[in-house]
Amino acid sequence: MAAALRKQKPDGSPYKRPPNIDGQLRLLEQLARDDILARCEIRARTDANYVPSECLVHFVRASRGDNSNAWFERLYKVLSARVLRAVPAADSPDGTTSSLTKERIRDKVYERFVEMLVGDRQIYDDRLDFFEIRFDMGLKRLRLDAQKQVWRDDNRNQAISYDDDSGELSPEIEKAAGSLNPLEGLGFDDEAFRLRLDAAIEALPPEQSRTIQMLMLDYQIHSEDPEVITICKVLGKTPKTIWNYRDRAMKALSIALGQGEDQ
Amino acid sequence: MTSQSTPQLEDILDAFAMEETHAKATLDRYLSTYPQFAGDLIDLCRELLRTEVPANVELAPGDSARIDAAWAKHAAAQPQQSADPFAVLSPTRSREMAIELGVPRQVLVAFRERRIQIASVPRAFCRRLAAALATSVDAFVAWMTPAPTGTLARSYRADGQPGSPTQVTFERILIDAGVSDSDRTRLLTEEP
Repeated sequence: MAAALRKQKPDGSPYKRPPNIDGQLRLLEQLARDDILARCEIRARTDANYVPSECLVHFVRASRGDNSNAWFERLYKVLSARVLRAVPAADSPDGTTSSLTKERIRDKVYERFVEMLVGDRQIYDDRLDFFEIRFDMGLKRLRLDAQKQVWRDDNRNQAISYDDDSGELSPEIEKAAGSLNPLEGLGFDDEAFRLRLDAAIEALPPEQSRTIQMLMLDYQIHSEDPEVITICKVLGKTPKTIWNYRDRAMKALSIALGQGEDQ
Repeated sequence: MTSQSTPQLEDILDAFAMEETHAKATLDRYLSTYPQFAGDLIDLCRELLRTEVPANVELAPGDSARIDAAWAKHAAAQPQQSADPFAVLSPTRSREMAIELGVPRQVLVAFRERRIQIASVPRAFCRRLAAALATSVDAFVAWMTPAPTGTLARSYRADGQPGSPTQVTFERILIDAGVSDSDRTRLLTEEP
Protein backbone atom coordinates (compact mmCIF):
# COMPACT_ATOMS: atom_id res chain seq x y z
CA MET A 1 0.00 0.00 0.00
CA ALA A 2 1.28 3.45 -0.83
CA ALA A 3 2.52 5.45 2.16
CA ALA A 4 0.15 8.13 3.39
CA LEU A 5 0.86 11.69 2.30
CA ARG A 6 2.34 14.09 4.85
CA LYS A 7 1.02 17.48 3.80
CA GLN A 8 -1.60 18.88 6.15
CA LYS A 9 -4.60 21.04 5.34
CA PRO A 10 -5.02 24.48 6.91
CA ASP A 11 -7.29 22.86 9.53
CA GLY A 12 -4.55 20.39 10.49
CA SER A 13 -6.14 17.31 8.92
CA PRO A 14 -3.99 15.32 6.50
CA TYR A 15 -4.36 15.52 2.73
CA LYS A 16 -5.22 12.16 1.22
CA ARG A 17 -5.05 10.75 -2.27
CA PRO A 18 -8.51 10.38 -3.85
CA PRO A 19 -9.83 6.78 -3.65
CA ASN A 20 -9.45 6.26 -7.41
CA ILE A 21 -5.74 7.11 -7.24
CA ASP A 22 -5.20 4.82 -4.25
CA GLY A 23 -7.05 2.08 -6.14
CA GLN A 24 -4.94 2.59 -9.26
CA LEU A 25 -1.73 2.44 -7.22
CA ARG A 26 -2.81 -0.82 -5.62
CA LEU A 27 -3.48 -2.30 -9.06
CA LEU A 28 -0.27 -1.00 -10.61
CA GLU A 29 1.92 -2.18 -7.76
CA GLN A 30 0.95 -5.74 -8.62
CA LEU A 31 2.21 -5.41 -12.21
CA ALA A 32 5.68 -6.02 -13.56
CA ARG A 33 7.71 -2.85 -14.04
CA ASP A 34 7.73 -3.18 -17.81
CA ASP A 35 3.94 -3.41 -17.81
CA ILE A 36 3.65 -0.32 -15.62
CA LEU A 37 5.95 1.55 -17.97
CA ALA A 38 4.03 0.45 -21.04
CA ARG A 39 0.83 1.75 -19.46
CA CYS A 40 2.46 5.01 -18.42
CA GLU A 41 3.39 5.66 -22.03
CA ILE A 42 -0.28 5.69 -23.08
CA ARG A 43 -1.25 9.30 -23.82
CA ALA A 44 -5.00 9.05 -24.34
CA ARG A 45 -6.81 9.68 -21.08
CA THR A 46 -9.78 7.78 -22.42
CA ASP A 47 -7.75 4.57 -22.72
CA ALA A 48 -8.74 2.06 -20.01
CA ASN A 49 -5.07 1.43 -19.21
CA TYR A 50 -4.08 5.10 -19.02
CA VAL A 51 -2.06 5.77 -15.86
CA PRO A 52 -3.07 9.00 -14.09
CA SER A 53 -0.16 11.42 -13.67
CA GLU A 54 -0.77 11.29 -9.91
CA CYS A 55 0.42 7.65 -9.94
CA LEU A 56 3.36 8.50 -12.15
CA VAL A 57 4.48 11.14 -9.65
CA HIS A 58 4.16 8.58 -6.88
CA PHE A 59 6.42 6.09 -8.67
CA VAL A 60 9.04 8.69 -9.53
CA ARG A 61 9.11 9.91 -5.91
CA ALA A 62 9.49 6.31 -4.74
CA SER A 63 12.75 6.15 -6.71
CA ARG A 64 14.50 7.99 -3.91
CA GLY A 65 15.49 4.72 -2.32
CA ASP A 66 15.75 2.49 -5.34
CA ASN A 67 18.77 1.86 -7.51
CA SER A 68 16.90 0.73 -10.63
CA ASN A 69 17.76 3.93 -12.40
CA ALA A 70 17.06 2.70 -15.92
CA TRP A 71 13.39 2.07 -15.11
CA PHE A 72 12.96 5.30 -13.18
CA GLU A 73 14.70 7.24 -15.92
CA ARG A 74 12.02 6.15 -18.37
CA LEU A 75 9.21 6.95 -15.93
CA TYR A 76 10.77 10.33 -15.17
CA LYS A 77 10.91 11.17 -18.85
CA VAL A 78 7.30 10.19 -19.43
CA LEU A 79 6.29 12.39 -16.50
CA SER A 80 8.41 15.28 -17.78
CA ALA A 81 6.80 15.06 -21.19
CA ARG A 82 3.36 15.20 -19.59
CA VAL A 83 4.29 18.36 -17.68
CA LEU A 84 5.65 20.06 -20.78
CA ARG A 85 2.64 19.09 -22.89
CA ALA A 86 0.22 20.38 -20.28
CA VAL A 87 1.68 23.88 -20.26
CA PRO A 88 0.49 25.70 -23.36
CA ALA A 89 3.16 25.67 -26.01
CA ALA A 90 4.69 28.90 -27.19
CA ASP A 91 2.90 28.93 -30.50
CA SER A 92 -0.67 28.26 -29.38
CA PRO A 93 -3.05 30.68 -31.04
CA ASP A 94 -4.39 33.01 -28.38
CA GLY A 95 -3.69 36.24 -30.21
CA THR A 96 -2.97 38.19 -27.02
CA THR A 97 0.21 36.93 -25.42
CA SER A 98 3.62 36.96 -27.00
CA SER A 99 5.27 33.63 -27.64
CA LEU A 100 8.35 34.68 -25.74
CA THR A 101 6.33 35.32 -22.59
CA LYS A 102 4.58 31.98 -22.89
CA GLU A 103 7.88 30.25 -23.38
CA ARG A 104 9.30 31.83 -20.24
CA ILE A 105 6.23 30.79 -18.25
CA ARG A 106 6.56 27.26 -19.59
CA ASP A 107 10.28 27.18 -18.72
CA LYS A 108 9.59 28.35 -15.20
CA VAL A 109 6.87 25.77 -14.61
CA TYR A 110 9.10 22.93 -15.75
CA GLU A 111 12.14 24.19 -13.84
CA ARG A 112 10.08 24.52 -10.67
CA PHE A 113 8.68 21.02 -11.04
CA VAL A 114 12.12 19.54 -11.71
CA GLU A 115 13.56 21.36 -8.68
CA MET A 116 10.84 19.99 -6.44
CA LEU A 117 11.48 16.44 -7.65
CA VAL A 118 15.23 16.75 -7.11
CA GLY A 119 14.71 18.19 -3.63
CA ASP A 120 12.20 15.49 -2.78
CA ARG A 121 14.74 12.82 -3.73
CA GLN A 122 16.97 14.13 -0.97
CA ILE A 123 14.47 15.20 1.68
CA TYR A 124 10.71 14.60 1.46
CA ASP A 125 9.05 17.71 0.00
CA ASP A 126 5.39 17.70 1.04
CA ARG A 127 4.46 20.22 -1.66
CA LEU A 128 4.75 17.36 -4.14
CA ASP A 129 1.92 15.62 -2.29
CA PHE A 130 -0.47 17.88 -4.22
CA PHE A 131 0.69 16.26 -7.45
CA GLU A 132 -0.33 12.86 -6.10
CA ILE A 133 -3.81 14.22 -5.31
CA ARG A 134 -4.74 16.40 -8.30
CA PHE A 135 -1.85 16.63 -10.71
CA ASP A 136 -3.55 18.97 -13.19
CA MET A 137 -4.57 21.39 -10.47
CA GLY A 138 -1.10 21.34 -8.94
CA LEU A 139 0.35 22.18 -12.33
CA LYS A 140 -2.12 25.01 -12.83
CA ARG A 141 -1.04 26.46 -9.49
CA LEU A 142 2.56 26.37 -10.71
CA ARG A 143 1.57 27.95 -14.03
CA LEU A 144 -0.30 30.81 -12.39
CA ASP A 145 2.62 31.52 -10.04
CA ALA A 146 5.08 31.40 -12.95
CA GLN A 147 2.89 33.74 -14.97
CA LYS A 148 2.63 36.26 -12.13
CA GLN A 149 6.39 36.19 -11.75
CA VAL A 150 7.05 36.66 -15.46
CA TRP A 151 4.52 39.48 -15.71
CA ARG A 152 6.03 41.13 -12.64
CA ASP A 153 9.49 40.87 -14.20
CA ASP A 154 8.08 42.53 -17.29
CA ASN A 155 6.45 45.24 -15.18
CA ARG A 156 3.22 44.22 -16.72
CA ASN A 157 0.68 45.58 -14.27
CA GLN A 158 -2.00 45.81 -16.86
CA ALA A 159 -1.53 43.02 -19.32
CA ILE A 160 -2.96 44.70 -22.36
CA SER A 161 -4.66 48.05 -22.54
CA TYR A 162 -7.30 48.69 -25.13
CA ASP A 163 -8.31 52.08 -26.36
CA ASP A 164 -11.95 52.49 -25.39
CA ASP A 165 -12.76 54.13 -28.69
CA SER A 166 -11.10 51.55 -30.88
CA GLY A 167 -12.82 48.62 -32.49
CA GLU A 168 -16.45 47.80 -32.98
CA LEU A 169 -18.29 45.38 -30.73
CA SER A 170 -19.16 42.26 -32.66
CA PRO A 171 -22.94 41.76 -32.90
CA GLU A 172 -22.71 38.58 -30.77
CA ILE A 173 -20.77 40.30 -28.00
CA GLU A 174 -23.01 43.35 -28.13
CA LYS A 175 -26.08 41.19 -27.77
CA ALA A 176 -24.53 39.15 -24.97
CA ALA A 177 -23.53 42.29 -23.10
CA GLY A 178 -27.17 42.90 -22.31
CA SER A 179 -27.59 39.67 -20.36
CA LEU A 180 -26.62 39.05 -16.75
CA ASN A 181 -23.79 36.68 -17.67
CA PRO A 182 -22.43 38.40 -20.75
CA LEU A 183 -20.53 35.37 -22.00
CA GLU A 184 -23.30 32.83 -21.62
CA GLY A 185 -23.67 30.57 -24.63
CA LEU A 186 -20.80 32.13 -26.55
CA GLY A 187 -19.23 29.35 -28.61
CA PHE A 188 -18.29 27.29 -25.56
CA ASP A 189 -18.61 24.06 -27.50
CA ASP A 190 -15.73 25.15 -29.67
CA GLU A 191 -12.47 24.19 -27.92
CA ALA A 192 -10.33 26.56 -29.98
CA PHE A 193 -12.67 29.45 -29.14
CA ARG A 194 -12.55 28.59 -25.44
CA LEU A 195 -8.75 28.54 -25.42
CA ARG A 196 -8.69 31.97 -27.04
CA LEU A 197 -11.35 33.29 -24.70
CA ASP A 198 -9.43 31.98 -21.63
CA ALA A 199 -6.27 33.70 -22.85
CA ALA A 200 -8.12 36.93 -23.61
CA ILE A 201 -9.74 37.04 -20.14
CA GLU A 202 -6.38 36.33 -18.55
CA ALA A 203 -4.86 39.27 -20.42
CA LEU A 204 -7.38 41.73 -18.96
CA PRO A 205 -6.41 44.00 -16.04
CA PRO A 206 -7.01 42.09 -12.77
CA GLU A 207 -10.25 43.85 -11.72
CA GLN A 208 -11.77 43.28 -15.14
CA SER A 209 -10.77 39.63 -15.39
CA ARG A 210 -12.08 39.00 -11.86
CA THR A 211 -15.37 40.71 -12.72
CA ILE A 212 -15.75 38.59 -15.84
CA GLN A 213 -14.79 35.40 -14.02
CA MET A 214 -17.43 36.06 -11.35
CA LEU A 215 -20.07 36.90 -13.95
CA MET A 216 -19.28 33.63 -15.72
CA LEU A 217 -19.89 31.83 -12.44
CA ASP A 218 -23.28 33.62 -12.17
CA TYR A 219 -22.43 35.97 -9.33
CA GLN A 220 -24.68 39.02 -9.12
CA ILE A 221 -23.06 42.42 -9.43
CA HIS A 222 -25.10 43.83 -6.56
CA SER A 223 -27.84 42.72 -4.17
CA GLU A 224 -29.86 44.35 -1.40
CA ASP A 225 -29.71 41.04 0.48
CA PRO A 226 -26.68 41.25 2.83
CA GLU A 227 -26.36 37.45 2.80
CA VAL A 228 -25.73 37.27 -0.94
CA ILE A 229 -22.10 37.19 -2.06
CA THR A 230 -21.89 39.79 -4.82
CA ILE A 231 -19.11 41.03 -7.06
CA CYS A 232 -19.33 44.50 -5.47
CA LYS A 233 -18.87 43.04 -2.01
CA VAL A 234 -16.04 40.68 -2.90
CA LEU A 235 -14.06 43.23 -4.88
CA GLY A 236 -14.99 46.11 -2.54
CA LYS A 237 -16.29 48.38 -5.33
CA THR A 238 -19.51 50.23 -6.12
CA PRO A 239 -21.98 48.81 -8.67
CA LYS A 240 -21.08 51.63 -11.04
CA THR A 241 -17.40 50.70 -10.96
CA ILE A 242 -18.17 47.04 -11.56
CA TRP A 243 -20.44 47.90 -14.52
CA ASN A 244 -17.57 49.96 -15.84
CA TYR A 245 -15.12 47.03 -15.49
CA ARG A 246 -17.61 44.77 -17.20
CA ASP A 247 -18.15 47.08 -20.17
CA ARG A 248 -14.46 47.71 -20.67
CA ALA A 249 -13.75 43.99 -20.40
CA MET A 250 -16.42 43.13 -22.96
CA LYS A 251 -15.02 45.64 -25.39
CA ALA A 252 -11.48 44.33 -24.90
CA LEU A 253 -12.60 40.72 -25.31
CA SER A 254 -14.49 41.58 -28.45
CA ILE A 255 -11.38 43.13 -29.96
CA ALA A 256 -9.09 40.30 -28.83
CA LEU A 257 -11.36 37.60 -30.18
CA GLY A 258 -12.01 39.52 -33.38
CA GLN A 259 -8.27 39.85 -33.91
CA GLY A 260 -7.86 36.13 -33.34
CA GLU A 261 -10.34 35.32 -36.08
CA ASP A 262 -8.45 37.42 -38.57
CA GLN A 263 -5.29 35.35 -38.17
CA MET B 1 2.27 23.64 9.37
CA THR B 2 0.68 27.00 9.47
CA SER B 3 -1.09 28.17 12.56
CA GLN B 4 -4.83 27.71 12.24
CA SER B 5 -5.49 31.17 13.60
CA THR B 6 -3.49 32.94 10.89
CA PRO B 7 -4.24 31.34 7.54
CA GLN B 8 -1.53 31.91 4.97
CA LEU B 9 -2.42 32.76 1.41
CA GLU B 10 -0.38 29.91 -0.11
CA ASP B 11 -1.98 27.29 2.16
CA ILE B 12 -5.47 28.50 1.34
CA LEU B 13 -4.78 28.55 -2.40
CA ASP B 14 -3.36 25.02 -2.15
CA ALA B 15 -6.44 23.83 -0.29
CA PHE B 16 -8.74 25.46 -2.87
CA ALA B 17 -6.81 23.90 -5.76
CA MET B 18 -7.14 20.45 -4.19
CA GLU B 19 -10.95 20.69 -3.81
CA GLU B 20 -12.92 18.14 -5.79
CA THR B 21 -14.73 20.81 -7.81
CA HIS B 22 -14.29 24.51 -8.33
CA ALA B 23 -17.90 25.35 -8.91
CA LYS B 24 -19.55 28.45 -7.49
CA ALA B 25 -20.48 26.73 -4.22
CA THR B 26 -16.81 25.93 -3.52
CA LEU B 27 -15.65 29.43 -4.37
CA ASP B 28 -18.50 30.84 -2.21
CA ARG B 29 -17.21 28.92 0.78
CA TYR B 30 -13.66 30.19 0.35
CA LEU B 31 -14.71 33.79 -0.36
CA SER B 32 -16.85 33.79 2.80
CA THR B 33 -14.14 32.25 4.98
CA TYR B 34 -11.15 34.09 3.54
CA PRO B 35 -12.41 37.41 2.12
CA GLN B 36 -8.90 38.82 2.51
CA PHE B 37 -7.71 36.48 -0.28
CA ALA B 38 -10.65 37.14 -2.64
CA GLY B 39 -8.63 38.45 -5.59
CA ASP B 40 -6.14 35.59 -5.54
CA LEU B 41 -8.91 33.02 -5.10
CA ILE B 42 -10.81 34.34 -8.13
CA ASP B 43 -7.62 34.39 -10.22
CA LEU B 44 -6.87 30.82 -9.21
CA CYS B 45 -10.45 29.75 -9.87
CA ARG B 46 -10.14 31.10 -13.42
CA GLU B 47 -6.91 29.19 -13.90
CA LEU B 48 -8.36 25.96 -12.52
CA LEU B 49 -11.41 26.20 -14.77
CA ARG B 50 -9.38 26.90 -17.89
CA THR B 51 -9.94 24.66 -20.85
CA GLU B 52 -7.54 21.74 -20.79
CA VAL B 53 -4.82 21.77 -23.39
CA PRO B 54 -5.54 19.02 -25.95
CA ALA B 55 -3.66 15.78 -25.19
CA ASN B 56 -2.33 15.50 -28.74
CA VAL B 57 0.02 18.47 -28.36
CA GLU B 58 3.55 17.53 -29.39
CA LEU B 59 6.69 18.45 -27.52
CA ALA B 60 8.54 21.55 -28.66
CA PRO B 61 11.95 21.29 -30.34
CA GLY B 62 14.57 21.13 -27.64
CA ASP B 63 12.25 19.54 -25.07
CA SER B 64 13.97 16.16 -25.29
CA ALA B 65 17.36 17.69 -24.53
CA ARG B 66 15.81 19.62 -21.68
CA ILE B 67 14.27 16.45 -20.24
CA ASP B 68 17.61 14.61 -20.53
CA ALA B 69 19.37 17.42 -18.66
CA ALA B 70 16.70 17.40 -15.93
CA TRP B 71 17.06 13.63 -15.51
CA ALA B 72 20.86 13.90 -15.22
CA LYS B 73 20.38 16.40 -12.41
CA HIS B 74 17.75 14.22 -10.77
CA ALA B 75 19.83 11.03 -10.92
CA ALA B 76 22.84 12.84 -9.46
CA ALA B 77 20.88 13.92 -6.39
CA GLN B 78 21.62 11.34 -3.73
CA PRO B 79 18.98 10.58 -1.13
CA GLN B 80 20.11 11.51 2.36
CA GLN B 81 19.82 7.96 3.58
CA SER B 82 21.58 8.51 6.86
CA ALA B 83 18.89 10.93 7.96
CA ASP B 84 16.49 9.79 10.67
CA PRO B 85 13.39 8.67 8.73
CA PHE B 86 11.24 9.32 11.79
CA ALA B 87 12.44 12.90 12.22
CA VAL B 88 9.79 14.48 10.04
CA LEU B 89 6.85 12.53 11.48
CA SER B 90 4.19 14.55 13.23
CA PRO B 91 2.51 13.05 16.32
CA THR B 92 -0.69 12.67 14.28
CA ARG B 93 1.12 10.82 11.54
CA SER B 94 2.84 8.56 14.10
CA ARG B 95 -0.56 7.59 15.49
CA GLU B 96 -1.92 6.89 12.02
CA MET B 97 1.12 4.81 11.12
CA ALA B 98 0.75 2.65 14.21
CA ILE B 99 -2.85 1.94 13.18
CA GLU B 100 -1.87 1.24 9.56
CA LEU B 101 0.85 -1.16 10.67
CA GLY B 102 -1.33 -2.83 13.31
CA VAL B 103 1.03 -2.31 16.25
CA PRO B 104 0.90 -0.24 19.46
CA ARG B 105 2.60 3.12 19.21
CA GLN B 106 5.33 2.10 21.63
CA VAL B 107 6.56 -0.42 19.03
CA LEU B 108 7.14 2.46 16.64
CA VAL B 109 8.91 4.32 19.41
CA ALA B 110 11.22 1.31 19.85
CA PHE B 111 12.03 1.44 16.12
CA ARG B 112 12.59 5.15 16.32
CA GLU B 113 15.04 4.68 19.19
CA ARG B 114 16.67 1.81 17.30
CA ARG B 115 16.14 -0.61 20.18
CA ILE B 116 15.19 -3.49 17.87
CA GLN B 117 17.53 -5.95 16.19
CA ILE B 118 16.60 -5.33 12.60
CA ALA B 119 17.49 -8.92 11.62
CA SER B 120 14.68 -10.14 13.88
CA VAL B 121 12.04 -8.13 12.01
CA PRO B 122 10.20 -10.02 9.23
CA ARG B 123 11.01 -8.61 5.80
CA ALA B 124 7.34 -7.98 5.04
CA PHE B 125 6.93 -5.80 8.12
CA CYS B 126 10.17 -3.98 7.27
CA ARG B 127 8.80 -3.28 3.82
CA ARG B 128 5.50 -1.91 5.16
CA LEU B 129 7.27 0.24 7.73
CA ALA B 130 9.77 1.60 5.19
CA ALA B 131 6.93 2.41 2.79
CA ALA B 132 5.04 4.22 5.54
CA LEU B 133 8.18 6.24 6.22
CA ALA B 134 8.53 6.97 2.50
CA THR B 135 11.98 5.39 2.42
CA SER B 136 13.40 2.19 0.96
CA VAL B 137 13.85 -1.05 2.86
CA ASP B 138 17.60 -0.86 2.30
CA ALA B 139 17.83 2.69 3.60
CA PHE B 140 15.66 1.82 6.59
CA VAL B 141 17.72 -1.28 7.43
CA ALA B 142 20.92 0.72 7.07
CA TRP B 143 19.60 3.34 9.45
CA MET B 144 18.50 0.71 12.00
CA THR B 145 21.76 -1.21 11.89
CA PRO B 146 24.09 0.95 13.99
CA ALA B 147 23.55 0.47 17.69
CA PRO B 148 22.26 3.46 19.60
CA THR B 149 24.90 5.46 21.37
CA GLY B 150 25.16 7.94 24.21
CA THR B 151 22.62 8.50 26.92
CA LEU B 152 19.72 7.11 24.89
CA ALA B 153 21.50 3.75 24.61
CA ARG B 154 22.36 3.57 28.25
CA SER B 155 18.82 4.18 29.33
CA TYR B 156 17.70 0.77 28.05
CA ARG B 157 18.88 -2.51 29.42
CA ALA B 158 19.90 -5.49 27.36
CA ASP B 159 17.88 -8.63 27.83
CA GLY B 160 20.48 -11.17 26.98
CA GLN B 161 19.84 -11.43 23.26
CA PRO B 162 22.81 -11.69 20.93
CA GLY B 163 23.88 -8.71 18.87
CA SER B 164 24.02 -5.17 20.13
CA PRO B 165 23.79 -5.11 23.92
CA THR B 166 21.04 -2.51 23.80
CA GLN B 167 18.95 -3.98 21.00
CA VAL B 168 16.34 -6.66 21.56
CA THR B 169 14.27 -8.79 19.23
CA PHE B 170 11.13 -7.60 17.52
CA GLU B 171 9.24 -10.36 19.35
CA ARG B 172 10.45 -9.11 22.74
CA ILE B 173 9.26 -5.58 21.90
CA LEU B 174 5.85 -6.95 20.85
CA ILE B 175 5.53 -8.94 24.08
CA ASP B 176 6.53 -5.93 26.18
CA ALA B 177 4.00 -3.80 24.31
CA GLY B 178 1.25 -6.24 25.28
CA VAL B 179 0.52 -7.44 21.73
CA SER B 180 -1.76 -10.50 21.93
CA ASP B 181 -0.43 -13.95 21.02
CA SER B 182 -2.47 -14.12 17.83
CA ASP B 183 -1.46 -10.64 16.66
CA ARG B 184 2.15 -11.41 17.51
CA THR B 185 2.07 -14.60 15.48
CA ARG B 186 0.50 -12.73 12.58
CA LEU B 187 3.16 -10.00 12.65
CA LEU B 188 6.04 -12.44 13.01
CA THR B 189 4.92 -14.75 10.24
CA GLU B 190 3.82 -12.07 7.81
CA GLU B 191 4.31 -13.25 4.25
CA PRO B 192 6.75 -11.20 2.24
